[in-house]
Amino acid sequence: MNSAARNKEDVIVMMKQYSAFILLALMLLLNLFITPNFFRMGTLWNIISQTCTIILTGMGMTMVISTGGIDISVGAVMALGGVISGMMLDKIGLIPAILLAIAVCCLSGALAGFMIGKLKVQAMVVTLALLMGIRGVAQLMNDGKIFYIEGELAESYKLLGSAKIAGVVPVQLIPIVISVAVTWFILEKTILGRHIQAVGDNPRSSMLAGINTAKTLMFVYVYSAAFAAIAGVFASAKIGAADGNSLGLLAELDAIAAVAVGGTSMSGGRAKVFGTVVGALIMQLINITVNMNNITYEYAQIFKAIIIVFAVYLQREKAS
Amino acid sequence: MNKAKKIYNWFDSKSAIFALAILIVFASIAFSSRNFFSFPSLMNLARKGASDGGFLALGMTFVILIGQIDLSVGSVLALSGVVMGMLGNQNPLLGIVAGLAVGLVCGFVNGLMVAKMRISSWIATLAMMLGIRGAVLLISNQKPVSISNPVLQMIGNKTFAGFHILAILLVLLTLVCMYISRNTRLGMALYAVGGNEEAAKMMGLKVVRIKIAAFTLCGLFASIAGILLAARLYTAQPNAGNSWETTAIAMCALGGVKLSGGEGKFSGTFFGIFIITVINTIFNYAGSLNTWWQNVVMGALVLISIGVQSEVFRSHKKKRKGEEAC
Repeated sequence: MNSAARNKEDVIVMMKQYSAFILLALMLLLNLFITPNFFRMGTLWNIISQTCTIILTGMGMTMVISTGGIDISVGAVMALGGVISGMMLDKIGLIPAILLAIAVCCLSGALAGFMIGKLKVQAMVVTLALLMGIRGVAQLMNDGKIFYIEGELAESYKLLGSAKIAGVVPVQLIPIVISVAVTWFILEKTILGRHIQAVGDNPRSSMLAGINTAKTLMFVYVYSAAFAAIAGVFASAKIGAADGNSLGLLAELDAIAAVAVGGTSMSGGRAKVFGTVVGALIMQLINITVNMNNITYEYAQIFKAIIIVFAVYLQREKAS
Repeated sequence: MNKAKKIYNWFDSKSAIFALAILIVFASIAFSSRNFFSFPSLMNLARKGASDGGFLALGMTFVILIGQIDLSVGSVLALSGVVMGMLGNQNPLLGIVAGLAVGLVCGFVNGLMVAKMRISSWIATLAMMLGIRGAVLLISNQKPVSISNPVLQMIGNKTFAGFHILAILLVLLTLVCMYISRNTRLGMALYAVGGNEEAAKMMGLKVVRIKIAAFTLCGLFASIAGILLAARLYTAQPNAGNSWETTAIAMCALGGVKLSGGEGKFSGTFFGIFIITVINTIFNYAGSLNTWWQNVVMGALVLISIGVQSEVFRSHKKKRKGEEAC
């Protein structure tokens, strides 16, 4: 074999492996030419503060999808988390309210994990039912009205959405870094992470190999719900209000798209944490490009659709 | 023992009908003053079931049978309604044909992406959902299109001897779907592909074509739903059908269609449509009940019904069979 041909193959393989990164770079390059004032620190802070919810839900979704399942209830769980923490703020204090929100949302994740792991129902139906049910509960909490966060602790709560570290860096960087680090650590460095990907690869053989699949799945769905709750808290803090109807609406689709664009196989068994981060950045970059160039929202959606299909298409052969 | 098994089997296969029966009884007791069992209110129920996503659920069943999912149905519904509204006021036939063509093309593209390009159906149809919604908003300029043509208005509102046209169409199309799934090669192939794609391929089935056919049928049904909805309301809303894909999937799930593919009946979906519609009607009648409870009840019902149908319970049944054989 001549080495040139092999080099070419290597390049193609590498291109595929890093296609998400290349796409991100292309998007940045495109913005360099078409978007005025793009390369400023303000844009970066903007991206960080807006991409927080996609990355948080995307981290949970990466784990869920790498077990071969899917969690479409994250948007509704976000709403529940935001509404609970917002409403309980004045009654029990800032930290307890957030912890309560996370705990309640974990219950929803535990229910999903129980039904998927123990009763062996398809992940999609269970989380679909939870999507409807949890959204209903979130709406019920305040009779379907928007809850404006007011009172003594409101200012400190809103700081979660608007504070700046050292005066410039948005506070959302903290949950992003922590969530990515924790997810990466669990998936790459722990036995649990191996188990998660083994379950996704082949649930039957991993069970025969002695992995407690029910427990693993339970953990994964609770993890996803917990991060969705945190995303809900940060989203409601940023807006200064919690709306059970619209908070986190369609967030599950953004998260799934970020995971898929990032190169995690939809059939399970292979998790790419940093790929998801890149995927989330691409999704947010599309929004920002569109906003900064005054392109109408409708074109943005079409644009987004094409990029998602293109990115996933590039990676498909490796996935199959 | 034998009798108990019989009853159990009956429950298992007819759980959807059973749940529907319970719901109707509950509704009739709770709102007996409203004459729930009268012909007009039952007809109303059928009409509502048809216009609130019933056709979407029928189309979705094709896609779910092959183990895939179609998230774009709500957007396709809106697009075909708007296209029909824009072209149909002068020439109703052209409008209807164009509306149906929109659905066929969208479904076909979905099928191509999933079967040929091998993109996960989640991602492909999600992208389609975003893209088509964008296209609808663009071509309609975000304004509803009013439908003034009497022929089109008739399509959505005519009654024949008390039977509403939407109810008739829903029943007819369900029968057609049942015929397709039971008595045609395509129907058999759908179950084969959904049950085990590799095996179906080895048996010589053209899996790619079958998948494309299923997605195209799903798109066609979505456009039928869009046309009829627009015709019934006299307007085509660009935001119509937003998030109706979840309702359609829930209707299939409640009807016992297995979402991993290969199992389920159109008759089941038909009853699933009615279960959801009855729940909606109960909440609409009872003004005092908080409407947000509707979502909670619907979610809980889906959870219970799939919990009962889950494999753990099925494996009990198999075990019992095995014991008897011994």
